[in-house]
Amino acid sequence: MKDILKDIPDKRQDKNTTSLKFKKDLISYLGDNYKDKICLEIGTSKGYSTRILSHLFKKVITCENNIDNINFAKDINKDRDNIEFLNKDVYNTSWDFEDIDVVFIDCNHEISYVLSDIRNAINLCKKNEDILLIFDDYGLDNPWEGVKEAIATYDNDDRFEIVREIGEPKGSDCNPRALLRDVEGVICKFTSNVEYKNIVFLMDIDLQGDGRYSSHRRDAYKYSIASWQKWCDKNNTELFVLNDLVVEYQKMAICWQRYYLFDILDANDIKYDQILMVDADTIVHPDCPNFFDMSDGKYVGVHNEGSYDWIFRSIENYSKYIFDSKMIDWWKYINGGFQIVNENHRNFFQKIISFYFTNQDNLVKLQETFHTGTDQTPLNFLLQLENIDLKLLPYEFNMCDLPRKDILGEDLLFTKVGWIYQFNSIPNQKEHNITNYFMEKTYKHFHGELS
Amino acid sequence: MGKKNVVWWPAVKNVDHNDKFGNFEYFQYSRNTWEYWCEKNDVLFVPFEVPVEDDLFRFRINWQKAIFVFDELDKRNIEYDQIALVDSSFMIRWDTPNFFEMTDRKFTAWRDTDNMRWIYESIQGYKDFFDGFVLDQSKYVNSGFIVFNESHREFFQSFKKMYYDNIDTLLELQDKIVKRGNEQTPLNYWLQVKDIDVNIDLPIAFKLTHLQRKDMFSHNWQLDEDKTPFFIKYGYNFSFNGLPKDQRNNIMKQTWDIIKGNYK
Repeated sequence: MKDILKDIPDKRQDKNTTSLKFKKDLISYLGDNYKDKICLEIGTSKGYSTRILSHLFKKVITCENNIDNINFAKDINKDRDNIEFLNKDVYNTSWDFEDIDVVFIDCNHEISYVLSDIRNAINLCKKNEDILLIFDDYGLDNPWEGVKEAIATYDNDDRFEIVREIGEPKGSDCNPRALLRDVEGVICKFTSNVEYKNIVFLMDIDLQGDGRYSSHRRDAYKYSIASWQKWCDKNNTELFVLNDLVVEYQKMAICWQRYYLFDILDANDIKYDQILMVDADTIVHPDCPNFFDMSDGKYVGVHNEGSYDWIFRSIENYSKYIFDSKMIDWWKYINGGFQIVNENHRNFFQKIISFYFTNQDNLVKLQETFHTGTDQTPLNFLLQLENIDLKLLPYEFNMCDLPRKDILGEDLLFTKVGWIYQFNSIPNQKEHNITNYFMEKTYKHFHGELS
Repeated sequence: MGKKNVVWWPAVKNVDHNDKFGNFEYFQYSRNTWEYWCEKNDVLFVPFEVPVEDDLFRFRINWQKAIFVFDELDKRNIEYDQIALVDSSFMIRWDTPNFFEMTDRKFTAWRDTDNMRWIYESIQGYKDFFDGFVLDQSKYVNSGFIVFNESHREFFQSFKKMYYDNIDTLLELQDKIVKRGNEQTPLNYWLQVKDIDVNIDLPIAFKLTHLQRKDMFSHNWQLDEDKTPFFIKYGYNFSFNGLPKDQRNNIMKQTWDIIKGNYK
């Protein structure tokens, strides 16, 4: 161990590295058990930890966005031949790595970035195997939520556990800025478990009302549900259809109630990986690619390409009356009818519900005055104001407003140019007859009669 | 002097189409905006007003703007860094961010999803010409605003050769068989056949086409506090396509009248 730690500074000498105790604990935990394995390091910094890791693993792949840091790290590790240095922005590029056994995470310590790191690391785990995640600065006393809070979001996930605390203890003065509020670092283990499936979540609730609450609106939902069931069967995904309201719809419009998603899944004892919340006026192409594989573990939506008159009015109206005149990037505005989320977004959904009840009267008044949507525009404001890391999929994954694209017709051209069709914004309808007609026709085009 | 970024602005007046395009008066409004933006961003504005090939039937300006861009820059001894080809039906807002800084030095373009039926039919129409190549429509881009650099010279030169080698066939496809556009769909095939790395991730505010289809001519009539049309308020670079061509002059003039105070 002495040889490995030769010339490596302690955190007290260089605050950007880990303490010597952290490194010793790490060496002690990993021992010789990983000599034939690959470690991915997120955040090379000066390369001191990289050097330690290079002694413990067959190979180390280390990612760093700052080229000066990479050059420094290369220099101090010039005698090591098993390190691959990547100049990579890990938050804006895919983690295209294979056969990774351990991920050492020491990059941006703000919670949203750490959650992104964890999600990306977990995605590297093979089915029914496990992966180690090593975190520095678990006990760092930041004024913002950080590593500890990110890991805490996995408290209820029995695939994820802290297996060892490492480094300086709580209260240590190893960081010159502040005493540690908890142990310096932790080693976590994530075990992939096939019981945790991806979920497609739909709402099909008969409100037996008039207008937008009319039962006719649901007439063709059975085709949507059947198309999604077939897609789920093909893609090892579970379909969950909610048939009951969580809250009376007079108190909360049905669209808002989807943000009780995690409570609903918990109440039904459903284990999940990622969840697609999709509207029941959609039909999915049977060969639609598995969009869960495209998420990079992020919140996923599809930009709403429809009437921008409606979208801009909606944004401006909500901005003025609800969001203190704040504005959002309209080109990131997503349709609420297709949202992929995961456990990392539980807190965000709780914020949405809380936001709703805090602003309930104003929201209802605004909805009834301007008719520029219910949850969709507030969702977009909250996504951007809360800095949720959003990934946009192409239009083909939520093809709303089909008539505007000149592809809604008897030839069903839309089925040749995309994957998920949302039969909304269709003009001149009576009791949703055109929507229902095309949903039935599209389903039968792919699958024949409903069995 | 170092190499500058260049805006390559095709604006050739085809006298045979003077009636259809109202004597091309709209060129001036586009030019006003682009000259201002170029000066503000230290970009060289390079108009393409005299065609290389005089036969504008066999060599439509839409083809010439693409296949001769490098030849013309060479001929004029212009040293360039990146080149933005932008149609003269576009007007750029005065405060548009410098898109040259956002390209990652890739071929940069914007998806075209306006009239997806037209696009689908165009793609199918040219499929046999390109030996049955299966073009990915989800990567189909608009050719009215594209950004590229020296590394794409060979791509455009080969595109030119392809055109010269097949000019009669392409004219027949474009005028008699497919009747869905000029160079745009062949350019898309060429991009995908040649496996060019195309950046299609920049915000659509930089390429606002089919404004009418998108309902962008209106303003917020509910709040009624600001009558600025949405496309001006929220767009960076707006194209007056997808409209009857004889209305283009009038609409671009009206737009210029609204915004011209910002270009002084």
